[in-house]
Amino acid sequence: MKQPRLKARDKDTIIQALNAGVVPRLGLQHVQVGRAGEVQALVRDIERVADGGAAFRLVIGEYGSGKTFFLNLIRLVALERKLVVASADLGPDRRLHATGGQARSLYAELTRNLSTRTKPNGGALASIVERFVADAHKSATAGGQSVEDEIDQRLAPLQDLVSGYDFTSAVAAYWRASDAADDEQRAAALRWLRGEFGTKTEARQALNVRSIIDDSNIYDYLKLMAGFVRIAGYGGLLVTIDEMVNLYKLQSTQARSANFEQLLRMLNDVLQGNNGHLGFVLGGTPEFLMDTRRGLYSYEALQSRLAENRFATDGLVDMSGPVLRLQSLTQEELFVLLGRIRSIFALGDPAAYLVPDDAFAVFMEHCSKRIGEAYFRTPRTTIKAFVNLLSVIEQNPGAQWQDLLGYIEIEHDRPDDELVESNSEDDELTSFKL
Amino acid sequence: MAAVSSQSTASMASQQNFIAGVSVVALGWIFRRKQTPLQGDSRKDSHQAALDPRDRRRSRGVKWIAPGERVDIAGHTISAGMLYVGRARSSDRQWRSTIDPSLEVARHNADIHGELMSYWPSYATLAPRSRLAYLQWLAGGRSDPSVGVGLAFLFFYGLEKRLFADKAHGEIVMLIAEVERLRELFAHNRSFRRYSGHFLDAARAIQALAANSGTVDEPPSQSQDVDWELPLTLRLALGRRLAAGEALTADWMLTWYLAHPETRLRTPASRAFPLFCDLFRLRFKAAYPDGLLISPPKPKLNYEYRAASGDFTSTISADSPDIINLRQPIRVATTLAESCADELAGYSRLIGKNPDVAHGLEAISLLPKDLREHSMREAGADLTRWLESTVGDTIGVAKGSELLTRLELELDNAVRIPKKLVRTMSSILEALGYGMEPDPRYGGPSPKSEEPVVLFKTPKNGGGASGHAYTSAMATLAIAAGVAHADGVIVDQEIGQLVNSVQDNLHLTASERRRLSALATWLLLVPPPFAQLKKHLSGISEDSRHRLARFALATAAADDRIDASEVKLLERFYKLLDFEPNALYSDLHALEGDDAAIQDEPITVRPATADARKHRIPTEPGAERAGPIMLNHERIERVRRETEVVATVLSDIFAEPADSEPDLAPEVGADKPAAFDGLDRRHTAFVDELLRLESWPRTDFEALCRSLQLLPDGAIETVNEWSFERFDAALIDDGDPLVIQYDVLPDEAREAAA
Repeated sequence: MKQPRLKARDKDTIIQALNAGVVPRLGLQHVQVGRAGEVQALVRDIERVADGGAAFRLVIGEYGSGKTFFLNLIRLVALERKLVVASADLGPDRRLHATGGQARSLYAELTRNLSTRTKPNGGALASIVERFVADAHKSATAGGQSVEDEIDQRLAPLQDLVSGYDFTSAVAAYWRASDAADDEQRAAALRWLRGEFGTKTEARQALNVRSIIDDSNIYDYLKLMAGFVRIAGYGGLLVTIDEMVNLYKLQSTQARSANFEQLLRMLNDVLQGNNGHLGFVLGGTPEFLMDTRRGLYSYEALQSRLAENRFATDGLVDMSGPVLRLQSLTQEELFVLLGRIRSIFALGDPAAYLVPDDAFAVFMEHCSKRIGEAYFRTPRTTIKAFVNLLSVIEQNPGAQWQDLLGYIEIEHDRPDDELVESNSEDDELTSFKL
Repeated sequence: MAAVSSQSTASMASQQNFIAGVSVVALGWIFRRKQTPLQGDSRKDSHQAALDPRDRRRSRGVKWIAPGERVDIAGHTISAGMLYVGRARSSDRQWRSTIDPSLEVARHNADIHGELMSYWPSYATLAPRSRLAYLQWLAGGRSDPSVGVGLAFLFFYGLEKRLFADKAHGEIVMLIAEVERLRELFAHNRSFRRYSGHFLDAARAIQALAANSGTVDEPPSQSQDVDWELPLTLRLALGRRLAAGEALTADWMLTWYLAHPETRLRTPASRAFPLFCDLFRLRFKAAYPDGLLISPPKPKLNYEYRAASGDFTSTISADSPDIINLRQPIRVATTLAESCADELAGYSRLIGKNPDVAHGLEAISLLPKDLREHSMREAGADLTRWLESTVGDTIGVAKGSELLTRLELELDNAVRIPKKLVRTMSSILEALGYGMEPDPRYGGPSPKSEEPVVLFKTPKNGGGASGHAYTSAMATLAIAAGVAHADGVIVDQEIGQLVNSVQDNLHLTASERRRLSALATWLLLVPPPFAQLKKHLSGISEDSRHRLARFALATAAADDRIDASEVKLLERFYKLLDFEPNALYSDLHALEGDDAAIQDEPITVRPATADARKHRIPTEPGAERAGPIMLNHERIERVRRETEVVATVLSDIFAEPADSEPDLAPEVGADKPAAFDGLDRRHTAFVDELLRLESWPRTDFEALCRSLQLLPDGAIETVNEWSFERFDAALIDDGDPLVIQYDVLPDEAREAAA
């Protein structure tokens, strides 16, 4: 990957995000350290999608191993390759399959976050639809036929897919509304495409479209969306879903199975070559994958397909399977990462480095003394502390980094969800035994 | 002025007949916009404007101030008029251009560069400092071009309202003159040029509608500076022609084609624009001597004038057909234009590399034949005189280097003139009616610069040579020369004989014969590379040598007899080919036998005589009567077949060390993309407008999109995709306001925009 120049406003975005302990939306390529094999595997996936193929990856890593970071990086690569990316986190109210609107809500979230290279922060649905409509309009006037005919003709390949007719109708409705400068209708068409209509009656009244996107068919609509963005001139659609662990947390066996079944459908479609221009990258923790009671391995059909290459252990990796495991950062990788953060502060200019190389080791040592071994397993806190240190030096040019070390606060990082709570229960149990 | 005005007033009466309807539609969204008054530091400078008391009594409404009518606003005296002044009643519509004298005007720090003005300025919401600048500009006779273009736009909005919304068609001449004056003044601003262009186009269309319903003979002049819309005047004029059943001439088609929004001129066409236009006319006339007749389409002309102010739209319709959706004529023109661009490609490549040579001999020689004649006569006058004195009527000789100088060409140090350069020499000469030998275009080698070159005058119909007979005769000459040089002595007699046989060859055209004579002369003057013929010949396969030998035999026997001198030449040739001398005789013998085998029937003992009346003897099969000449077709076929073999063998021999540069240089730097290359005309206009401001309130931005008939989000996506492709970053930062990232653009694009 070529190294693009770093812009001052990107610097601020990255530093603010790192400071807040979240993954920056922009400029990830400046922070990425190591993981060349993993990145390459996914870049190949993206290229396959752009060439008309399909991809399915489970990115599995421990808490703090950088899954979200990795997914975001992949997202950016995909955008750069002219793919459209839809991303969302699963949650209690967002699932792959549901009966109470949670699946539709996931779809709505995915389409709201639809991004293109020119709109990397989501909200690109209107742009994509308008670009398509404007193009159709242009060639319709050039070819002397009506715009609606042109739209129908262009979207004809979608008609073969499930619900293709309704999808086409919604796009045509968008055109009619734009032509008539009817903002309300236009918003309604977009709402329909985003899956925001709750009932069919509502949709029929607003748009004269008979069906809606609901819990049972979101995967079909993702396929349609992939076909659509392709026709609109993009490379394809990449769907990234994080926090898959929420499926593992589902209490009802039936609900879990229904969701896993959707995953199986996706995986099967990919393995059998039924999809084109569509890729899935899903992030989850090891227990989500391997727990034989509630994880993916509890679902026999998935387990056999996801079983790992048993020769790829002890440092050997096989990245051709659907499961991609992220290991936590090593000390050395952390060292390099600190270097890259320093470089971001200096906008890539070595003359402007705020601290010398020696500072890294001292800093790491300091962190490890303060919070123990966890400091490099969950690099978040270390990075945050380091960013704080550099910010202070940047604002107080006279300050010596050695003097400041003692004042830098380093918090213990802990997962803030219920998993940890259950762990701590275990701890109590242990102490009870004692 | 007065005379002109009254004239146009007189024509008012007939206007209604032709303007089926001019309606004004207010655009509601303009008024739904949240008006955010701009901040100005005017508190202490404020000054309450006072109209003349009489004015205040008389008109509570807004009044048009005619030119020459004096008006005082906030202490500024404006005498040139052409303004709307007054205080609109609250129930009235608000117009951007209207000057409300009661609004506060700053006293100092006039915002002359319009830094406080938005893209859609409105007097009512101007900052007091901007109002000061506006009034000062008006009071100064509105002729200062250094002010911000926003001021000009604000004034222009008033003119626009006057003509299209208030339909003051009686003042049309005056209004057009004023807009033309402003357009001249602000010609440096593309945005103003575009909008004032729309105004003038629509105004002239109204004039044309009022003046008469007939057709115009001359189309507007052709230019590359076109808009994203077909001009209304052109639509009207074309429609009327079609309705009248008049064929479209080359000029009309060219104008239509150039003004069409879908047209993308290729580099050769835009680089050599005047030549392209000339060529287009020539080719069109050749293809359609009587012009192109098109049946008029059914829909009637209906045009919507969108005010630059965004305040209103006004419909102009006429009772003539609307050609806007016709595709077929544009397809015809496009095909024609494409082939014209192809014809100009070589010329374009040359002047793309070096624009200084556009009028040089080389450039001219690359032009299509019928296009270059005139300029060639001019540019080549000296050369022609020299050629005339050197060549006279027949053949002349000049040193390669001298010829190069005469042709204004340069050779860098090479001993042998590169093939490409020889081609250029030859094509320049050809353009003047001369030919040269050797000439790689006709199978010869390229000469060395210190060697002589033979020049000759080509017949009127050109100096081309392409037939089988020519290749064959050339091979004969080459071989003869080779044979002649084989023993180191050139026997003039022998060559002369062969040249004569070439001259007598009836299969050759006049120009081929002339070229061969020149070649023969050159072969006499320049022994190499034929001295090396033996070396070359020994290098080729035995099979090829046999073929060559057979060819030489066939050539010698072509006139049905082989005399002693020919046998003598052939003997030497066989030696050259490294054959046994005796082989020649058996081959000659076989040739006769071969002939006998072909003519497998009784030989003629006594020819039929005219008086043999009783029994008619049929004509010989295989021999046809073609005029006075008897042709043996088998023999011709055989010679032809052999010729092909020889041509390939010869081309091996003539093959030189390949020229280092390829024949067709790629368009180096030729296709340097224009600043907005890759965007269509509509989006180019869009980016043009966008670049006027760095920050765009969302509402203004959407209004701009509407005025260009673009969808806002789609337009951002298209432009940003394009700028990612071109400059690796997005040009438009979406949001409210939208921000234009100037630093994304390369310098030349920024300059183009400024």
